[in-house]
Amino acid sequence: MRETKSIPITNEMERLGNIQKVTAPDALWGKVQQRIANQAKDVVPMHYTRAIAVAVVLLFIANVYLVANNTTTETQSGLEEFVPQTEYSLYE
Amino acid sequence: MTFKQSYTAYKDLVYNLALQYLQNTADAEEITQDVFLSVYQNLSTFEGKATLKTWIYRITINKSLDFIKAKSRNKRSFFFTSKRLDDPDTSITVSHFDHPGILLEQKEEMKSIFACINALPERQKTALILMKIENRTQQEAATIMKSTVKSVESLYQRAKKNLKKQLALNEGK
Repeated sequence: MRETKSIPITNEMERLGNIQKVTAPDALWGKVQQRIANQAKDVVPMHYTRAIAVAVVLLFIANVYLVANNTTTETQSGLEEFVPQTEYSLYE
Repeated sequence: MTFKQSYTAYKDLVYNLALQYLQNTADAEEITQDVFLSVYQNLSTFEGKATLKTWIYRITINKSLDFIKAKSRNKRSFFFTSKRLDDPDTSITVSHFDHPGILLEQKEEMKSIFACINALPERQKTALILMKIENRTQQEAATIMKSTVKSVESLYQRAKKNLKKQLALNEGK
């Protein structure tokens, strides 16, 4: 049988418990504030977003309305009157 | 509590916890910034179901784990790119071990211990870091991890067992 090497895990665990706590660098506050300021610049105001959303919805509704009211099928277009087609067989 | 007050109260907690996950000061600083940016954005919507401290703990843990995942993804894609380009000079960059809480004479030893901790599954790693390094009680760790005391204890025991196995493997090498 293979012999497993005994490792003193307690030592490692003790060492982990002895890791010192450090203080965060003072410059971090400035960096956090900078990130917040940069993000505020990038954010699009909510009323712009709403206005664009409303415009898109209105355009969509107008599109649906126009398509529904201007449907022209072949029979309605009167095209047959100009080009009467009586023979449909291509190969005889 | 205002944002500035919460920053002053928890900056060291966040920085130290990030250091335990990443073992690099530059990465820990980046995580600290990310965490407080997230706190700033969500402080007004914070419902107070958990304490502010627990909430900040959770954000830090999630950000740190996401950072590690993103970094390993980048490393993988870089590896594939370098393989495809057949460039022998390119190598995978690994964050330099730079933990200011560790004494210089223990640095090499702790580096290998942390390498084993980093190989643990995420929840086992979190249980070990919270209970052993951060000295949180089982109840506190369970609250932070949204789990039960029993489950956290089990995770901690498995983490210790796996760490022992991993250390034995490293010793054998």
